[in-house]
Amino acid sequence: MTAPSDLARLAARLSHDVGKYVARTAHNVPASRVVPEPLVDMLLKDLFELDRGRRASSVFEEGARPIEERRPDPRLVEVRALLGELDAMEADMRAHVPEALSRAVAIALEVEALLRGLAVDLERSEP
Amino acid sequence: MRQLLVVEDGQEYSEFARLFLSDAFDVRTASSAHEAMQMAAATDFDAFLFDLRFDRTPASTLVGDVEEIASRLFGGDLERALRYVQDQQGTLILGELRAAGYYQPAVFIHDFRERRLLNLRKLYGHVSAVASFSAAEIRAALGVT
Repeated sequence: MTAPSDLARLAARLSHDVGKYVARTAHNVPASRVVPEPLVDMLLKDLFELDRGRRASSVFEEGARPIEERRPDPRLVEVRALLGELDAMEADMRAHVPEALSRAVAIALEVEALLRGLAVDLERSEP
Repeated sequence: MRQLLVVEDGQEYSEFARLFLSDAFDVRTASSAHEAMQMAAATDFDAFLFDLRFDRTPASTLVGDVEEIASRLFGGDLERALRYVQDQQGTLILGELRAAGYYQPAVFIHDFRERRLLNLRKLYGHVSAVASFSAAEIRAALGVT
């Protein structure tokens, strides 16, 4: 058993705490990206009540800060923008506007992929 | 109906299981090693579904020798060792279950590197991992057709 470096551990934690959970429902939406009604509440939880009732963007900021202080990465900037877009769409999503829900699914999957890529890269690059 | 034990420190897995797995499994949830052991003793589960990271439960409920890990991996730094124990708690709980004789298939929803997954299989036998909350992949890993 070997200990991961702090930076790799922080990135793995961010990928777990934000990436994995933000895409929990999104992975199960049909390819059409039309969100079935029974999944809407869970999707809203994933995005706006992620950890102890906090929105994903807030959990992300807390986890991204210590990484960016040591190694800025454009993927973190991209994720921040995507989560900001989600926050701006919250009212439409809560009103079950189909286009907003479909866009949210796409964003959630993209956020997961970006954070996973970052975690993998940092794990490989750290001694 | 088949029995599934979900082991997690929150509610995300059990919510997911109720929505996507309840047609195939009676789902029960444990939030610590102690609870998981008690429930495994009481019910003949068909499979375990694990979260990996436990940072929402009290440190006193975690399994893993923090002092030993601090000494071996972190130069005596207890804080880092505790974070490590939190980050790996799912695998540590699986180790407790295996040591107690519960060898049911275990599925993690985590993007383990291949080498890590091979190590887990060497240690704990039937272990699989699904990278994301994909119901289709999780059902396949749990043997649901």
